[in-house]
Amino acid sequence: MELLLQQLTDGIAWGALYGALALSLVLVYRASGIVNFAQGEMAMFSAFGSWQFYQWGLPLITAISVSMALAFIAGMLIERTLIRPLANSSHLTLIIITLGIMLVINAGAAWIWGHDARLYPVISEGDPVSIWTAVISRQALTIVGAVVLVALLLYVLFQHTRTGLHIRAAVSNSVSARLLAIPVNRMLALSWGLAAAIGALVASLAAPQLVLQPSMFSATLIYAFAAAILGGLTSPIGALVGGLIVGISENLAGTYLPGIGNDFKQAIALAIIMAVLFLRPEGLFGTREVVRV
Amino acid sequence: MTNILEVSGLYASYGKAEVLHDINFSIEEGGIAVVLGANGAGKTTILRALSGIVRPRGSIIFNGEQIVGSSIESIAQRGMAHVPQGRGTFGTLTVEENLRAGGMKQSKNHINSAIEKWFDFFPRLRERARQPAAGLSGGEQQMLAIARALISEPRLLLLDEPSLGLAPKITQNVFTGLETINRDSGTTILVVEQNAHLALEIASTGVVIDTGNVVTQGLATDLQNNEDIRRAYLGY
Amino acid sequence: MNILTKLRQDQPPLQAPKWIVFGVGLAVLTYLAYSPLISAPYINFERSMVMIYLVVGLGLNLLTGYTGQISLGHGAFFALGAYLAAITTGKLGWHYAIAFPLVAVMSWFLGYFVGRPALRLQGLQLALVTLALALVTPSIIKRFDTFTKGQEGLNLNTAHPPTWIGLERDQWTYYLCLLFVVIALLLTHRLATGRVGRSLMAIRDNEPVAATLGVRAATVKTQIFALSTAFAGVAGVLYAYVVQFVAPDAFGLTLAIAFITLIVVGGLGSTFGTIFGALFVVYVPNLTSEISESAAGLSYGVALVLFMFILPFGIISFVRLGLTPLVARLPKLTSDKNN
Repeated sequence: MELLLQQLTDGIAWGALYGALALSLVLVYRASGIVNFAQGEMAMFSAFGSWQFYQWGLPLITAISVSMALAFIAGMLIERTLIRPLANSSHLTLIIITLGIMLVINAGAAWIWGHDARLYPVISEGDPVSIWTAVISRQALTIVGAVVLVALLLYVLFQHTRTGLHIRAAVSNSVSARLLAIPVNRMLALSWGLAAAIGALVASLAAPQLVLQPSMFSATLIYAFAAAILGGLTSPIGALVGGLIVGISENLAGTYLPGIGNDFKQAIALAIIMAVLFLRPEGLFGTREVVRV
Repeated sequence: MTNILEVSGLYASYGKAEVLHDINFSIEEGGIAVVLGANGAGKTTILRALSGIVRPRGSIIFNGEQIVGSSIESIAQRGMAHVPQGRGTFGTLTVEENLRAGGMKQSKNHINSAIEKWFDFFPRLRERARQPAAGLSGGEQQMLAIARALISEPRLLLLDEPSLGLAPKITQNVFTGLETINRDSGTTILVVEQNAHLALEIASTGVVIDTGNVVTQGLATDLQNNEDIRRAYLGY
Repeated sequence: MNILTKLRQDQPPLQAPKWIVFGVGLAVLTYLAYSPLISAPYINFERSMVMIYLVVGLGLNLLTGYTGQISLGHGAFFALGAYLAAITTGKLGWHYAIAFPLVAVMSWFLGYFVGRPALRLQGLQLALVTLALALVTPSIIKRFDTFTKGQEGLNLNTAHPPTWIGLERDQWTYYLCLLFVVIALLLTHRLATGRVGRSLMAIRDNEPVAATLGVRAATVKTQIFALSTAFAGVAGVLYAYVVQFVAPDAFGLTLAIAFITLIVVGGLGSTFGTIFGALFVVYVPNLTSEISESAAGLSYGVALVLFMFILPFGIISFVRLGLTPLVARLPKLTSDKNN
């Protein structure tokens, strides 16, 4: 029982990370209709960025905030320069571009900072926190808290602000939105910026655990994809719920399913992706798309 | 009466296919004008050229300003509202959110009172204020799209085939609504309609289009009484 | 129309007269057949790798070029071929030639089994599933460590040339690669020009309409998928024989991206473009590794993005643009004039 509780707690902590990355994927998917394969690498680069600012003397929280702001701008720039010009191309083209961006950012990070792992400072020193019999590190608790905060902020943004309404309108029907003088292009760019900033935040918080190096997200990426797909690529709530489910099932499977050691846990993510795409492509919370002849 | 819209020498193409050839017409401020013609004649393209969805060649003077080449957003900001074919409501947003999205530039209070006004005018919308727009019937969506377009108090409202997919009674309601709107607020309305009979009932002037050319234009009553035109282009 | 706009359009294939095609092909073949005898082993190694990638690329081109679907997961089949080759010649001690038909058949059937449901997915979904497969392939390999020896990898000591030929092993494996490239090219050409090829074009251009014309899209597409995975599997066998070592991490995301870069740079759907793609993928890392370790990834990435913007139809469009006016001036035989 104690083991189960611990696994659940770990699962929730990891799930928050996956959910946040999945949230970024969903924001971009809603805006541009593509999966940004480079999302993980963008987040990784931002984590390096915040580390670098910290090395230069900024307090950690400031460093992370600055990195988030830069990530926001970078996200908007990438949308503006590399995605929007080819907005009318096939999905194939845009997928390949995001793969290319993924490679460039990864290589860029390796070129600037090298392949060696760096120590990333934790935000909150102190002993791990106990929840009944389970133990969770403060850093993990911070991640969960940050993700919850992000979720709430996004909720307020989308449901109660004019900008959020305009983003949702632009995503729902871009021509109608433009006819109402809503600056659709700016709304799309904002979505990419938000996605990048969220990635920067969680990457910086997860860096102590995942160890800061260019290959930081290579193992985690697939879980984020699984979370986004499970939740339904069009649903932010789905991303978070999907993250939790993936995080928990990954941990439980690793512990309780025979034959699934630590290495093979990734296969769970693959299984989830396949199951969702074959059985219910719109995921748990997504909306079905119609194919027009 | 000034002309709110003056179109001259308008050409438009989709790719290599030229769809509009040398279109010339003008609309007086304050009235209801109708663009008529058979399917595929180019009526929808005219509206799209006006609102900027399609980039035409030629001249479109709206409110004294040349708008050919301007972006959709800037044309909309200058007071031209376009309700496209199929309504174009934001399906995942609620009725109220749809209306709110129509008030791009206005203050919150302004928008709130505008929404109230439209709920009074279309009580059905008030009933469904919190429901996603995708769940509304065709007629309700049409009302929603019209109201949404009028939230920003545009000077010219473009409507593309409002009767499409609607039962006759609902269509009648929509057209009556348009008449009332035009009378009360003075908004100029330009309607593209296949249902020429109904449209000419409420219009003051009309333009008849056939395969991308203007066939004739004039007072609605004249068009109604012209049997040749009616039989050849208007279907009745 | 300036040159940038022209490059962004699909260029029609070169209508080269037959004698030029045969002539050039023969010259190239002769050169390729003769060169290993006079080249250093590392050169033969590089060229073998180009040919291995070429085989994979031809298979992927069949898939992507004709069905418009992208698969990032062919590395798994490549790995399957490589490991089967390693295990059958190692642990089981079989003759190295057995792996070829064994892997071809196994990959074909596995590809058919996977492809049948997979091809019902839309473009983005298939890309996601196959990407997930690529990400997970190394850990699948490690999972079966009783056979694969996990992270340690497997050494091969096989594919020795018959003693009477008098060749070195690097030369012999080179010729094996050349043999399969020729087979692959012939297969691809037969397919492209035959009835199956025309069905494929119909499917790619407008699947629902093709269906009404009686083209059994699902079956044809799955067969193409299976064929492409068979190509990848056989290429994997060749890889194992050339490199003489297999390890899990060589078969993950990096490999998948190399494959995609190959066909994008070459030109989606173009056979000859794939040759350029294979050359790019092998030689660019070699050249750039002088500059920096990460330069290979950088060049792949930049290439992918640049090509999508400037040369969406690959190097081959550039080549065709340049050569078409020249080819038009070549004298034709009367048999060509009827084309």
